Amino acid sequence: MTDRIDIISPVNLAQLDHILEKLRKPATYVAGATDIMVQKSRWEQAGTLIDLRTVQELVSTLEIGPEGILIGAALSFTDIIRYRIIQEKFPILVESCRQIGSVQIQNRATLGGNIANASPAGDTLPVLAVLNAELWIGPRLKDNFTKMSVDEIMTGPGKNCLQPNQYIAYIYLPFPEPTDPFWYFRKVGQRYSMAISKLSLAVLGWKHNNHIREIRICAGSVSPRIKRAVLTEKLLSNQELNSKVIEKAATQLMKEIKPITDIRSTHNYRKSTAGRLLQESLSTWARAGK
Amino acid sequence: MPKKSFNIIGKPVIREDGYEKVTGSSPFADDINFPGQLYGVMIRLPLAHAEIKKIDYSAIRGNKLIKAICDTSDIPGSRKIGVVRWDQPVFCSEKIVTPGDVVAMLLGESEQELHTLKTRIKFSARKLPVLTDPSQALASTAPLIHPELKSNLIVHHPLRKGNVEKGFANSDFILEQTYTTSAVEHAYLETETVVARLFPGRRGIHIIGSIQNPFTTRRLVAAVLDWPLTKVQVEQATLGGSFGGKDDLMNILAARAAIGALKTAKPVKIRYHREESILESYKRHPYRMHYKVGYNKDGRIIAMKIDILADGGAYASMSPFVTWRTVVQATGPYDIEHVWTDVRAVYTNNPYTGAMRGFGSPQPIFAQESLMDEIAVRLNISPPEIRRINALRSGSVTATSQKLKEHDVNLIPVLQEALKKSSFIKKWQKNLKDNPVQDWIDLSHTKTGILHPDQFRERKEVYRKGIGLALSLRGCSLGAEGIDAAAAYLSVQPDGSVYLMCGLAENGQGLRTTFSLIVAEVLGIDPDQIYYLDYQTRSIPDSGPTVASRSTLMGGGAVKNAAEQVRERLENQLRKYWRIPKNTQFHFRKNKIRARGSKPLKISFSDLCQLAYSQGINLAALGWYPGPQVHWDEATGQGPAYFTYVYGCQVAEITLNMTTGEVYLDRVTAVHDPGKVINLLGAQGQVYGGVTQGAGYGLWEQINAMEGQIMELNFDQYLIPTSKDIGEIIPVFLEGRDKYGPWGAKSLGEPTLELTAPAIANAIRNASGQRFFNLPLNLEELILRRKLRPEDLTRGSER
Repeated sequence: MTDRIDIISPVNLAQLDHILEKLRKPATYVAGATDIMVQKSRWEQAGTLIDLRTVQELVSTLEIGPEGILIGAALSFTDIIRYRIIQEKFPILVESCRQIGSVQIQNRATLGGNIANASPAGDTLPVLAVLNAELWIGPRLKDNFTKMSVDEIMTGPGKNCLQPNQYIAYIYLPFPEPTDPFWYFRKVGQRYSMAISKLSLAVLGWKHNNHIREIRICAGSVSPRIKRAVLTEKLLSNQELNSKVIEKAATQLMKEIKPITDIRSTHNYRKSTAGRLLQESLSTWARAGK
Repeated sequence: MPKKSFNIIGKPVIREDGYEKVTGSSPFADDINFPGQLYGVMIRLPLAHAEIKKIDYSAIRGNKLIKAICDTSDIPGSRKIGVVRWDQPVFCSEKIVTPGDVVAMLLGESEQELHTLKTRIKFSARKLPVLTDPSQALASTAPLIHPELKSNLIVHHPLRKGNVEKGFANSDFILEQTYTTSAVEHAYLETETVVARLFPGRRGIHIIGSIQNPFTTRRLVAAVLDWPLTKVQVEQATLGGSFGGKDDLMNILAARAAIGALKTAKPVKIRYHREESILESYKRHPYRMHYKVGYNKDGRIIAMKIDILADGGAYASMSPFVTWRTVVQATGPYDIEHVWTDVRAVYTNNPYTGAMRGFGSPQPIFAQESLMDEIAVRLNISPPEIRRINALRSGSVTATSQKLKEHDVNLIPVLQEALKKSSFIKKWQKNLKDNPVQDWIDLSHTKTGILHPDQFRERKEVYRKGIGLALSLRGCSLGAEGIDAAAAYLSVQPDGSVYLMCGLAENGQGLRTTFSLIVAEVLGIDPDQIYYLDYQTRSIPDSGPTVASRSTLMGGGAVKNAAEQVRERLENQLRKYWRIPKNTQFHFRKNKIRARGSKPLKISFSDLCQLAYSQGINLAALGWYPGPQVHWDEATGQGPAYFTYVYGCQVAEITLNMTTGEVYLDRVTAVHDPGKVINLLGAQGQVYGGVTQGAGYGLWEQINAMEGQIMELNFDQYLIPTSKDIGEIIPVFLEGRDKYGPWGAKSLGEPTLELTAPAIANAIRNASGQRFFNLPLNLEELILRRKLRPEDLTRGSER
């Protein structure tokens, strides 16, 4: 335990990269610090904190491109919820951000932090997975960021594949195809705010002539790392939604996920409820077309 | 009783400490520091049951950061304490009986360094078998938690009325069910903190802390120090919540701090962080309750046999009294001829359990009010109807053979009012029609406990509505638990301003405001003229503990008595001064005193005080309010247990998510007869808080101990309701008349909590057609009928 904690506050990316190049001691990145603040033993051991909320580019970037948007990793959830472009193009992300913690947490916590923290219960992770989010990892090598997907960066509960000098700089979100997308996000917690998920489910899909043309499904808190339910997706593609197909898909999802029993919930509850939530979402979609 | 018009009683008044609380300027215990103060840090062994062989301090002995190490050898007086049975060591020296146990305390200036140093302490201990299941505690093979007591039985309260077997024989139907409840944490915002310092010249010891019952603390610290009571001065700092939780543990912490101060001659502060607080503090008793009920076709309950087992954990604490309230009230507010009840509390190696708001009533009310609805379902009658048939009325006889008299027995009236205010019958019938029972998928009936493919039946609605109610009577104050009397001190100054203090403590419930209003009413003055004095044990007689929703009733009685004594002296003075007849009556109103009668005589309150003062009249008084005698037969559980009762009915309306098992509490209509309401705002506050806490008990809260070790040591795991989880709360007061208490004011604090969980359980029944037997009714309980704790797979059930 130490009485002293060094906090490094770089003002821009160039300075951050320069500091990381010279840094010889282990450091912990913080942005909103909502997780590390309550883990006293962790920050007491941290010694050196690098504050990403002071890095100009990371806290203020929102670049709208022709095919997607680039978001600074240290934008707070409240920032994300408030941007009109995100509300219009990515309502599913806004919905997941709104269900995180509480308003106070949303004011501080960041999208990059949610990803780097690598909790299977991270509320935006299933959503980023179905949005095909691309993570831009710093520092730049020859002016280029390293690119990664959400399921690549996470290697296990609380673990990511980043090197000590690597950090999440931006999140690139390609615009989902605008014609009639169906989206669904549901978080199940023991209570309505300030509760870590027992389970969550994100679904994004498109139909063509009453058949599913494309569907992306990802459940949270059901496996050590965030993964899309590719077998369930495959089972559903090109299918017409009826109760039989929905049942099959729900059963497949229950096979595909591997939840554990822990202090927040049980294997059985997570498995069964994931199936039911998928059923609920697909039934809603089936009815919506009629 | 004649109707009386009040100046201020019954109106909504803002709390006298409101400004300090809202601006954050109230001094809590941890804001109080003394020069040269040391911190005390506890040493625990990570064991649930073990014989201590050796504690090895060699790695830290001689370290300059450590000013002293205190253990049981430093105690001059009693080494064990307790509020009822003296079984809890201040420092454990022979055995560890639960993981919260403390073997020693390090003293030093840097709390942080002490926390680091304590990890270097080594120990050797012989592990003993750990007893966690209370149902095994009385088996001959069970390990004895306190071998010197020869048994793990803490207490057994029997109650025998009529002939229960004959009652069952004469009943048309018999229903048997088992219900269970969980241990829960008080979850006060402020964790335990206390400072002890010696008065100069060793004239005594001064203890300031977040202490619920300063007189209990004084008694136990005096015993530990082997000092007279007068030398132990206990002062209460502003309390950041207690709910019954800052009793036993605070007494022990005060004793440890006192020992440290005595040993080092320096002030010693102990303050717990949240994990330490949850680890060592006592909880609400988990109960296992088996009910057998005999009833007739017409809905009349003939006989009830009840077997209740409470897990007392490692120490007796308040178990004997908590379970005593249970035995008195276990049959609920119903008139039943034949009753046979056994309530037992036993020792285990689990965290110990003690007093918590409700005190032995929330558990049986959950069981017995669930049961009432189950009987109604079987007879095809409505929940209010089954209660109307069996409810206690004026002149009825309770399970303890006490005749209810001399007060308004407002049970049926609170029920009727709640039905009306919530449109209960209309909603209840609509929900029954809208909610087909067969739609509920109960995964506990599947082999694997996992949803089977053919169970993906499509439902029309994911969300369903439910409404349920619960009804109770509650004995006021301590009853036959013990001596019941309270004191108040009032001193009117020559300018008409007033000092006030009562022997009961402000635990956040707002009694200082309530008491000020009582004085303001009697003397016809403004509450702002009253200066409420800080609570110190040397300035006021011992008035018993601030518990059992007794403050307004008992303390209020004492305050009123003090104010009336002074008023009488002022009236006598006025009669002389105005030369008016001895039987002249006066109005004390708006700071003016008028003589009743033809002559327009009046004087301001301050002029009258000045006048009385100049005439040498004593304007100070010690008020006293003794509770009437109650008595109790230990062997049969018969007698007038409490001198009066209050009545309440709560209706819960919920939305149930059929997919996930989530329950949202839409609305609670809470109708209570607390007797006369003194401060309307304070009374409403009690309802809002009690209902919220009761909802937490019903839906979320649960302390799980694995091998005695608590799993939820902070609020990330132990979930209490947030403002987002609770819908509208509608408090309604139906003021019954009573000859006791100030103008008939009685109790409200605990009744508000005890009804919410069963009302929610009954609402879930209305929505789902399912009965759930085990609190809390969380998502896993609803969908899987199991708890997160592995050994708890199946708890209560129907037999």
